[in-house]
Amino acid sequence: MKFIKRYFSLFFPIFSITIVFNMYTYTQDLLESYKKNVNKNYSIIISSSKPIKHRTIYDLIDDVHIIEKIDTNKLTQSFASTLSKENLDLLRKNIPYFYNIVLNYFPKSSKLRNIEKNLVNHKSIIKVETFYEKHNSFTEMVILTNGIINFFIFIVLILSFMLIAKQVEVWYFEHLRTMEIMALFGASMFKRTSRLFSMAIFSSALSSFIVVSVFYLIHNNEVIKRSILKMGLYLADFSVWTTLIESLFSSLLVSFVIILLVVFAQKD
Amino acid sequence: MDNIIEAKDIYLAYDNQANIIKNASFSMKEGEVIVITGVSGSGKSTLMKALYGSIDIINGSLKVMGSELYKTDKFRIRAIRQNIGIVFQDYKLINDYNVEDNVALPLSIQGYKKAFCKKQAKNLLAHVNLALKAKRYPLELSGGEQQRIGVARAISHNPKIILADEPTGNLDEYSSSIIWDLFQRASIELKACVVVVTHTLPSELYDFNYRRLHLEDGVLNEIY
Repeated sequence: MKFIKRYFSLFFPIFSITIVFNMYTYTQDLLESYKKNVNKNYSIIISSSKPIKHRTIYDLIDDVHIIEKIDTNKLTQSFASTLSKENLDLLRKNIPYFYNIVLNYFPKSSKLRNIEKNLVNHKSIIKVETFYEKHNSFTEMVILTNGIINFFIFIVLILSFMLIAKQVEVWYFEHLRTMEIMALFGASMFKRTSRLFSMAIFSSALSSFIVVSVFYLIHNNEVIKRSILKMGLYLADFSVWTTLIESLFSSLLVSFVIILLVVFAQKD
Repeated sequence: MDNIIEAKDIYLAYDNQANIIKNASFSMKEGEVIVITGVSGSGKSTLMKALYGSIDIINGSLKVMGSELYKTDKFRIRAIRQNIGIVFQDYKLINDYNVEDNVALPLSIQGYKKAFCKKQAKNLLAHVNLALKAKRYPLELSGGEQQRIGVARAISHNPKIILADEPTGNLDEYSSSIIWDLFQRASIELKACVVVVTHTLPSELYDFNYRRLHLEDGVLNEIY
């Protein structure tokens, strides 16, 4: 019972750090996938009075992925049955040139306004359609959701850090007499607190193992997989070893740093 | 032969209070035994603490194993302490460790392998007639048994110096004789300097080759 109590005092805060770290990575991956997906379906349309060289657009906007000239023949063809040949020719002659611009990234609203401003300033460009309103409300929602998630993750991390620091402090004072005796026989601070470090290693290893198991199940759960695919999202393959190493490394790093800070804050 | 302990005109006091030890001088070579006597409160334990670097001297010079204790850094103090075995009046055993682990503590601090520590602890426990209690915890044992563990711990790492503060003060004759026998063997076989602080000279000392220092009103005198 004493063993369980001793070892699990550090387990819960370290476990919450590990799970929160993985949740953050998972949500960021989902968000990136969402942004890519949105970006794939998102483009800016411009119309101009004269044909525009692709080079000109590249100079006006950074990170352009594709520039496509929209074929206006298809558009005018739909009027063939209702308009006379002369009128149709006149329409074809006067219809502006349309271009579809796809970016390499998912722009923020402010960036989008800049892009629009740059394009409009070009003398041949008549109109720019960035679908700002739709885009704006959508990005705001994504940013807000991401912000809320990050805020909660931050709070959980802070609380977990404080809890680890508190547990280390409690351990330190509980074992003060033992450490004093060890010091009388020439033990260094590391030797005196070696049990604390072994507790952190045990807790980090166990929590990493549990977290990796949980995320493995999430990644391989058919219901979750289907929902993600339904949203048009794609998550990279889950690597057990990479996740395990990342979790173990992050939890060990955090716990060791907190232990060292608390221990060295005490009088040697 | 160099002195292992060399105290010259030392003054000791706690936090700027009146001097507890005044102008004390003595030295020890390897294998020597010194018994420091004096009434309660005469400063015997304070002198002992100064010898393992727990309190600084106010004035004078105190060299242990060639290092001026109050001038040396904490790493050197640690190294010196690894060559000292201390026996405390209140035993200072770790209650969470079993008897065997308590005896092996100085060895494990010095990084010896677990198997070696266990073997050494078992040998010493046999010497103090506690081999059968190796897996018991200190609080399950009597005062005499705890002090025998304390002595076994103090000599487990073959120290150059053994410091014992009232080691047999409240013990029965049997435990007392085992402890004094171990001190004698440590001084002869390990060539360790043994400093024992006691308020009365025990009968076991009749067969002992030792020097006696007496503390009275903060003044240390050698009694011949």
